[in-house]
Amino acid sequence: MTAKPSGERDLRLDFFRGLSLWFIFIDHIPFNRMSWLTIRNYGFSDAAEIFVFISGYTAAFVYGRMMREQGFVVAGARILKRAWQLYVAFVFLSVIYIAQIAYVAHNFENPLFAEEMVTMHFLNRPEIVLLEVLRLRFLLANADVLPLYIVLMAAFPAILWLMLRAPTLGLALSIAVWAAAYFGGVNLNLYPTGRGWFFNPFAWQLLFSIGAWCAVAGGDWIRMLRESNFVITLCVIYLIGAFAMQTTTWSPRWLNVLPDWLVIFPLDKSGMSPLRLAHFLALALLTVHFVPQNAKWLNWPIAQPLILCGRHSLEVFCLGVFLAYTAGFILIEYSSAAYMQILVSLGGVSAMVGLAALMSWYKSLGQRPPRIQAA
Amino acid sequence: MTVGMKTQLGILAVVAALAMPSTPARASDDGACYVPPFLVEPQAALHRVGEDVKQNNKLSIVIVSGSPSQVGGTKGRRSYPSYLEAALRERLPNVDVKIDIRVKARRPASDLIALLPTIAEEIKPSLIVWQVGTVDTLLQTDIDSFARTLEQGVAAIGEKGADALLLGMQYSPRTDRLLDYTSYLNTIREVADTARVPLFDRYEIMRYWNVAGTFDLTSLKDDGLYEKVHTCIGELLADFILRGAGLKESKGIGG
Repeated sequence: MTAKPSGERDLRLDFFRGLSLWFIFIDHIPFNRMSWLTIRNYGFSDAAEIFVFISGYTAAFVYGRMMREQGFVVAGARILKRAWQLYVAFVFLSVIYIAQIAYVAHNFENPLFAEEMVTMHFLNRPEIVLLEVLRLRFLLANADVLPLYIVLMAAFPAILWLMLRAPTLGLALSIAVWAAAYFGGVNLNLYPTGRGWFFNPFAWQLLFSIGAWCAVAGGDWIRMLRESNFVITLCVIYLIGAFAMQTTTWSPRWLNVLPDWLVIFPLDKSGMSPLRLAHFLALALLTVHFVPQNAKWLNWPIAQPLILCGRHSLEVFCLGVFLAYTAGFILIEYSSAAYMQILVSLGGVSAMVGLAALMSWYKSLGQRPPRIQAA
Repeated sequence: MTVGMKTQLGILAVVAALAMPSTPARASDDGACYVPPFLVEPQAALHRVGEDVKQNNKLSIVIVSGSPSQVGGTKGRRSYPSYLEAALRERLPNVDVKIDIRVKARRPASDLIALLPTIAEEIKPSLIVWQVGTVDTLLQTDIDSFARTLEQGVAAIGEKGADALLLGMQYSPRTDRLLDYTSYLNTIREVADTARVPLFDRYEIMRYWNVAGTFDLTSLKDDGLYEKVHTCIGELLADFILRGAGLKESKGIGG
């Protein structure tokens, strides 16, 4: 993935971001066996890494040019507008989430958890709950990528400014912040538990920043790495090793045969374990090695729904959060039979493609020259 | 096994259960209450229980809890102490099994600790099962003082010559994300590990059932789940105690 300032759109970015959005949706439906179709069980990293990396890359690519041509204020304002859109979407989704918790609390008759249900008393203070939503301290279950994205975009004007001027320094700072999160446990807190964010923004900004760095300064590095047979071989070996390790988590009986020092799971996802990061970077490098920018299959009809989703990632992502949530609700409250899992997964993916097509249509409306009505 | 490793295995069991194509309750080989053996492997011995059963043919257990709905008295339901008693009587036909329950409703461990020496002196039980975690998590007790309370309580039981067993909180999927269970769970595991008392880790056991599909713990209704879960907890706890006392073969980690 090399940044060509005036080149045409890199379809690979859209394709793989679309793919990551589908995977994130499918993985976020609780107890969904369809997640065996995603990359989650076959290596250390998962779709979240793909999404965050490509988001950082495209954001730097698009807003980087804007910042160079129109200045910091204009580009910064555009980035913050994007963050604001995400924030509004987050508040909207949170309202639905709180409604579901309140529904559960109201209809709860299961005596098994009589003691634990006292927890729900926090709903007696809706003003606190709503304010905590606005402060990003009350997060949707299984949808923490969205608030992560908000925080990353809000901080992005500063990150991008630095990346454009001193990319190496920018990357070094990003690594330092990650280290504070990974080793020092620096994180943002949640209400009402006081737990940290699942996607620790101080850790995950590293991947976003690496994406941004690749877009504005990493071109030569990437070219050198992807053309080195040694590096590519190393990546392949690492991915195979990671796959072998991951298979041991498929059954508790297999785990027992592992020697203690090999029991490395679960890898720290919140703090972005270096093993996960390396796994994703190896995967990304192999992708750019084997999939050239002009790969023919990217123009095949079968790739188009994914490219469409990747192109409208903000809208599709938010819809995916809502859909995963709704799908989980359906599976928990009605039926979680295998056919239902397939049905809600396919239904959700179709809805995401449908929304992406709709957004493209809206966009095409805006691009038409205004018609002048005859008087 | 260290605490960290046990925790990791517990998480792995859940990951693996999630990953398995379909895992109904394995009624055929392991019974409807199946959990991976390492989840119910006592980490320390219950010497006093072993002696009392072998030499005196009697087994007296007191369960101390701050959660009345979990140890009995909920609309006449049978809860795990009752199933535990039945299971022990069945497994030890010639032994005089007796179970007492002491409850201080919704009081934290620091309030229950006062009961322990008195119980040990008055009832002289072979074993005190101290059910901890739920109330302290709800009250968000300071984690360090929670750890000290557990250490002191376990030591107090030992001084009076009884065996101690810690029994952790339930896994409640509906409220799990709303409370910080993790630090309390870890504290309980660490105290059990350093004080060398067995910990019956209800949280990991129930989490396994929920993920493996043994029981749907997300159910909102009063549909018999209470009895099923308490039956299994009682059964597993009975075997756990007997294995800790050397009265039953350990299944071993490999199962």
